[in-house]
Order: sequence, then structure tokens, then C-alpha cells
Amino acid sequence: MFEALIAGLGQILAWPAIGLMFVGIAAGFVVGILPGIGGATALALMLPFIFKMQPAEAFAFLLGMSSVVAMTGEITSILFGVPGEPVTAATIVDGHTMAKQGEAGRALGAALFGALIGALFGAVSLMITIPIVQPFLRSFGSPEFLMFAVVGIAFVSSLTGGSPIKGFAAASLGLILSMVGQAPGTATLRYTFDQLYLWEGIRIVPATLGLFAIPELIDLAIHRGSIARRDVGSLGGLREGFLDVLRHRWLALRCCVIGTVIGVAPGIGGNGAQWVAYGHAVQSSRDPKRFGCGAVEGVIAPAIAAAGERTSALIPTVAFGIPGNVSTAVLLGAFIIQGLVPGREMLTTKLSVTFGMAWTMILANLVTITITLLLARRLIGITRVRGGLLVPPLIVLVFLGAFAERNTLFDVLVMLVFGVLGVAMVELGWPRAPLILGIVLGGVIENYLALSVSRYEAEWLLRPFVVVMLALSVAVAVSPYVQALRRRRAPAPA
Amino acid sequence: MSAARRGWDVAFAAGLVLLFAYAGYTALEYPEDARLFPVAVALPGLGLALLQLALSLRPAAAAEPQSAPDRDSLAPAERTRRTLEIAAWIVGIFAAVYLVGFQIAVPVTAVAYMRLAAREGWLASGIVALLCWGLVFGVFDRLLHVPLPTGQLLRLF
Repeated sequence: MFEALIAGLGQILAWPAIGLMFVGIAAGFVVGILPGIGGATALALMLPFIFKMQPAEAFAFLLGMSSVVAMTGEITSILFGVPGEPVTAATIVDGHTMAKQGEAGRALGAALFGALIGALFGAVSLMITIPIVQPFLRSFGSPEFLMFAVVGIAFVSSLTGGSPIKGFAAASLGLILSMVGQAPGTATLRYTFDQLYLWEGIRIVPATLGLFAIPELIDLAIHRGSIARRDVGSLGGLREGFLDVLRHRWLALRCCVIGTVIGVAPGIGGNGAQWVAYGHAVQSSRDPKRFGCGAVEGVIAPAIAAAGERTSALIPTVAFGIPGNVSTAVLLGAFIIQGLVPGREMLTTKLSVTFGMAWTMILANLVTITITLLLARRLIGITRVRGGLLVPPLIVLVFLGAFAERNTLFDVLVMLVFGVLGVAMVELGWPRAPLILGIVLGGVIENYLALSVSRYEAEWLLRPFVVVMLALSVAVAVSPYVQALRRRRAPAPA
Repeated sequence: MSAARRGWDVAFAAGLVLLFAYAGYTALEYPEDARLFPVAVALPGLGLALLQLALSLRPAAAAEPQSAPDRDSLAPAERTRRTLEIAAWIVGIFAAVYLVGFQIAVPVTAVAYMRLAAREGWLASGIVALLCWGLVFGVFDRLLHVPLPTGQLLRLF
């Protein structure tokens, strides 16, 4: 195994694999910054280029690109409030608020260093767990995967922003919106209003852009100033952000685990992982009221979880051919093009290729953070540019981002509808995070619930892992209220 | 909380009540397998929305802090006016894209916005419009091969 580990590194450092990895990183950098063109779309666009490559070269190119997307997506989220990737939307809540407060450098430092930590943790998990993961994951069925999503939705209780009724109503709205389209297993059309477009349901990219980017864009336009409303901190803010991650090392570690575990469970993906981690950060904080007002933990947690999820999603893909998220589903196409069969072969005769994938993700993230640090001063300077100059390019980016995923103007229209909803929610003090979590997890929960019931009827409720996870869900759901009660009963400081 | 703000709060909660009621009622017509989940979500959703509506209607709601972070110094009337203005621009840009496509609509509306709304000079307007057009043509059209629509109006010719 150690030989395969070294051989994997050797394959990536050899020419032309290393060169192709840098090309992939450059592409991933651009893709991450541009909203809408997600990592999965970019991977699909690049598949035709790998036909003549060797496996190590192909995966250096593809994974070099996809593994940096989450990291660079944080840049647009923090600086402009426009999610570069749907998996970086949660960073906006506190990260963009910090940018407005003149702490863009600190937020960027925390997000980038956090994303690096998450990606490294995911990659190392891949290296360590690959040989032992097969029997463990084989014991999992749809009830267990359902429970991951149920625990995720339980975190809504931490995302209500002090208004539980509004938060849970918003989550219910998200769940209802996730049901638009064909019902799983029955092909019954629900809430489609005879529109062909709605058969596929509401897409997460236009919904995220509308809910998060449009309100920030409008806010920037109506204030007619720069993004940073106070003096922008010096470049030293970056260092402060790095140190913040170290200060919150236990939160960072827990979010690494959250991201990695969600990555291994197929279906939930980085969209869910970021909000679950954000909810956990709120829940575990001594002062939850700071969240939404520029709490650095609100930047660290989702950045780490999203990056960890992206890398660890390779574990079920390599071990079973079960994609952990959309990007790894596209990556399965690359396996077929390269004549590789996920499963036993990738863990035995092709183990060096598997380790090469993990090395690519480690190296790509290290290179990306170095490049971003070199560009940091200019990037942070953008927050001082007057808003009038930024609004048109941002509108164009948001429009193209919504359009580019499926190449339809209907997606732009849906984005505008969600924009109206987002503005109303912000103005009236309704939390948006539960709504997006409901949209992301609703389909997953219904799918796995239907599968569990049809396969096991009610017996799945008695499976040991299900019982444990149900108890965990209840604990997660009631925890914020127990903590609030404790705080109320605690004697006031003298 | 101002009367207008309270009115919007009530309207939003009432809208949610209607939406959940519609979702639950419509779901009753679906086959059993497709009905279970929507009904199970719509009913508690309806209860929560009704509760929020009641809270929004009671006079004590005026004293509740409802502020979102960073909502600041602008007077409410001015804030609403500016919000409607930028919203109109966004809808206008969408209409332009629908009619003449991204490649024409983007630079034209960028110059229009810069001159009329942002009150920038011709040079800054031209540079920003060129940047926007470069984003559309250079990055999305040429580099990423995104098939951008030509626009409904141009299809007539």
C-alpha cells in the first residue's frame, strides 16, 4: 500500500500530468469564480479532452479543476455576495457581511484556509479509508442514507435566526418547492401547472442566486457606495483569518468530519453539507446572535464542510461506483472513458491511480491557495470600488450564471422570482437558510423514504443505525432551545 | 415597526398561508404514493404560517425587533424608491436579453445603467460595457461554448 501511495504521487508529479493539473487548476479557478458554471458542468465540458490521456493525466486534469472550484467560489461569495458555486452560498451570510464591515481580508483568509483544511482532510480520509470502507458502506442501505438527510434537516432549528416559527415555515416552504416536478417512483406530476420546464423541478442554481445574490446586488445598488462600508482592513486581515481557523480548531475539526461524512453519503452533497455545518457552528456557539452579523465561525464552518464533502465524495465513487455528488457522477464518465472499473480494481491493481487522485486534490488546493494569496490584495481592493461600476458586471454574472446550467431563460426567470422572495425575506426578517436547506434535502428525503418503505416497509425504523440517527436528529433539533433555556436560567454576570 | 412594514409582514404571512393551503389541497388529488409527503409537509407548514400571521396581526408585534443585519441609515421611503428603481432595471435587462439576446442587450443596458442610474461618465460607462460584453462573448460564448440565445425579436428578421 505504501508503494502505491508513493507511485500515485510519482504519477502526478511526472510530465505531462503535472502540467495538465495546472491547466485544470486554472480552469477551476475561473469556473469557481463564475456563478452558475458549477464544477459538474465544467467537468462535463472537459470530458472530451481526456480521450487520448493516460488515467493519471486525465484525473490530474479533471480533479485539479474540480477540487479548487469550492475554494475559489468562496471569493465571489465573500466579496460580492454572489455565490460562485451553490456550495458556497452559506459563506455569504457572514462572509459578505464581514466584507461590508471592511473585513474582507479576514473573511477570505478564514474561508480559503478553512477550505484548504477541509479538502486536505477529505483527501487524507480517502487515502486512509479506501482499503477499509467497502464492508462498512456495504452495510448501508436507503434507510441509513435517509437518516443522514434527516439529521441535516434537523439543523433547521439552528438556522432560524431567533424566529423559530418563521424558520420552520421557511423550511416547510423549501420542502414544498422541492416537490415540484415528477414524484419519485410514480412519475406523478406535482405543482407543474402544465409547464414542461417544471417537470424537472426547481433547480438549486437559480434558486440560490435569486435568494442570496439578488438581495445583495440590490443592497449594493441602493447604497451607491462601495461594498465595504467601513475602512477595508489591511492585508493582515488574511493572516487574522488564518489564525481564526486555528483559534476555532475544534469547530474546524468537527466540520471536517461533517463534510467528509456527508460526502460519503450519496445524495446530500455540498449544498446540504455547508448549511449543516453552518447550523452546527450556530448551535455550538456561546453567542449564536452574532451569526448573520459577521461571525467568522459562520465563514469557517461552511467553507470547510463544502471542501471536505467535495473530496470525500470520491470515496463511494471509487469504492462502488456510487457517486457522492453531481460532480462525481460526471467523473464516473471519465472512469468509463479511461477503461477503469470502480470497485475492487481501483482498490487493488489500480490503487496507485486512486492515491494519485488524492494527491491531485492535495496539490491542487495548495497551489490554489498560493495563487489566491498572491492575488489577495487586488481581490480585496475590489470591495473599495464604487458600487455603480460593479452593478452591471454583477447583474451580467448573475444572469449568465442562472442561464448557463441548462441554457434556458426560464432559469433566469426563476432566479428573478426567487430574487423577489429573497428581498422580501431579508426586509421582513425571515431566515433564508432553512428555505434553501428544505429545497436541497426535500428531494433526498422523499426519495430515500420511498425506497425504504417499499423495500423494508416499517421495519427500517428498527435498524440500529436508524435508531441512533433518529435520536441524534431529535438532539440536534431541540439543542438550541435547551441551550437558550440554560442561558436564561444562568445567573447574570456581576 | 412602521404601518407599511407591518402591512408587508401580514401580506407575506398571508401569502404563505394561501400557498400551503393550495399545496395541501392540490396534493389530495394525487395518487397515494405521491400524496403522502406533500400533505405531511403542507399541513404543519399551514399551521406555522397561520401562527405567524396571527403574530403579525397582533398589536404587540410593533414592539418586536425584526431587523435584518446591516439595514441602515436610508429613510424607508427612499429605500423603497431605490429598491423599485434597481428592480425595474433588472427586469428591464431581462426583457432586453429576451428580445435581442445577451450579446446586444448586455453592452447596451450596461451603458444605459451607467449613464442614467449610476451617473458615470462616458469613459467609465464604455469600459464597463466592454468588460460586460467581454464576459458574455469572450468567456461564456467563445471559451465555455454556452449556446446564448439570439433573442425573440431578432428571430423575426
